[in-house]
Amino acid sequence: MTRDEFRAALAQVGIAPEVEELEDMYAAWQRMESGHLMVLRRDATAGAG
Amino acid sequence: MSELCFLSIAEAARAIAARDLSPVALTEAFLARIEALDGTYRCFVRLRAEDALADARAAERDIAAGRYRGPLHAIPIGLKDIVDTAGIGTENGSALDRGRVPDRDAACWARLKAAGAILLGKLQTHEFAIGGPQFLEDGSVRAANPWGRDRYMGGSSSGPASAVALGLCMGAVGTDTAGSIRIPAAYCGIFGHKPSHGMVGLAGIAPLSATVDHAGPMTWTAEDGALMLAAMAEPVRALGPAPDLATRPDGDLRGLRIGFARHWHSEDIPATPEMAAALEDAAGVFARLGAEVEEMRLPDLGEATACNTVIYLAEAFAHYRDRLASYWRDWTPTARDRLALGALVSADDLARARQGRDESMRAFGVAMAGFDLVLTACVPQVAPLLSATRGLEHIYGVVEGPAFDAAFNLWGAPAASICSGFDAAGLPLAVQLGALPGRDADVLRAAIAYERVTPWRDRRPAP
Repeated sequence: MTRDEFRAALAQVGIAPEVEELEDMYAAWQRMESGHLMVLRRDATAGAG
Repeated sequence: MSELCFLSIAEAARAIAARDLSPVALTEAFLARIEALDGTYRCFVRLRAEDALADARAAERDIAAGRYRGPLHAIPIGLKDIVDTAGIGTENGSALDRGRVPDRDAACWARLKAAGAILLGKLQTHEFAIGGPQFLEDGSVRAANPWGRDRYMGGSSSGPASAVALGLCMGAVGTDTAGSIRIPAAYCGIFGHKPSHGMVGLAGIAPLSATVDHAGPMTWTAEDGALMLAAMAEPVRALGPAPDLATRPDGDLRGLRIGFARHWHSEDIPATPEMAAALEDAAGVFARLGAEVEEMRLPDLGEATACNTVIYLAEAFAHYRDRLASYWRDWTPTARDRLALGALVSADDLARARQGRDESMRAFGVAMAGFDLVLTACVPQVAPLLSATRGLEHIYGVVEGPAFDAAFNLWGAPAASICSGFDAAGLPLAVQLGALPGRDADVLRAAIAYERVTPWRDRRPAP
């Protein structure tokens, strides 16, 4: 998810953080994507194989 | 009088039942200790001194008249301030709920109240049990760790852990979505029990996730935890008949089979040498008590933590989305930033997490075949410095990697944090004991036996 997609997804649920806040939140989201979500997606891929 | 504050619930209950201990004197002792120490440690957000004393006088009259209700009667306790109390402020640790006074008791408090427990007051929590620690302007936090005020007290049940360790209440109710009873219990050197899912009712407790939220007792001893749980537990048919948790075990663990999941702290999340040594020592104690202790492997810790985190973030966001959108500036950054991440969890990812939960629960059942209990690490190290919990890395810690505690939330399985010694600096060490869902009594029985033959319950923090 790009930064713009991230901002748009938050805006869709009515959340519009300041620019600096958005940077921190996007960094956290990237860590989640490379952490927990990658684990889930990897396992789903392995299961499909 | 403060020596009364270091009685266990079990000891106080015996004395109260025998009319050797006045409920009024007991409550007065706790109020005096709170008066002396809570200004420094800030465990309580709301004290009900006069009302607690009135309740103690009523208990004293009832007991004198032969209306003794059982081991929780006249026992002074505290509740994490996300547990609703009718007519008593419950603000969920949040500016959003400032001035909120519920009109109904939470289910678990209603049961404790019916058992005669006396509510001293409401205890600190991280905001809605997800945002913390919340730093004050001077860099300190509320509910300081009594073993070192520069140390993290754990969360989100920070007030209960600190208050019990300090002897400001005999027991407390905490909640646990990913370790929020067990981690502060470990860092503050007390006993914390996350029961099987459904054993303690969640009605009237601010939710994060109906799937993985739990409420349970936080006490100085495991025996006290058993007494509190017996009073709090719902008669849930799915869990089978309520175990007779208050029965005093004889300490003999022969016939109990304990798996030792050493790989969690030796491979998955390396524990410090002192914590690892405490785990080996605990395994040895259980073996000397007659249990069969054998190494085993639990399901993948990273997968279980990932499933638990994704499920609770998605469910928590669903619950708080309107308040996030409408009152963004009123939230503390840690709480709102974590909750907002749930908005980004896709239906696909949530489905994967739910499927992963089913698979992990099955794998846990397979791993536990032949075992009654499992011994694992609870935290990889003693309470970290508070300064290490400040800033983004602390937020990232929730979303990134595995932890020892969340798997038991995912499995709905009982798990307890048990103090297992102290490091060279005097900070508490801890181990975790878990079991299949519904086997809380086995966890408590083993924990009680362990505490009786180890010296760790004799050492309190010196404020």
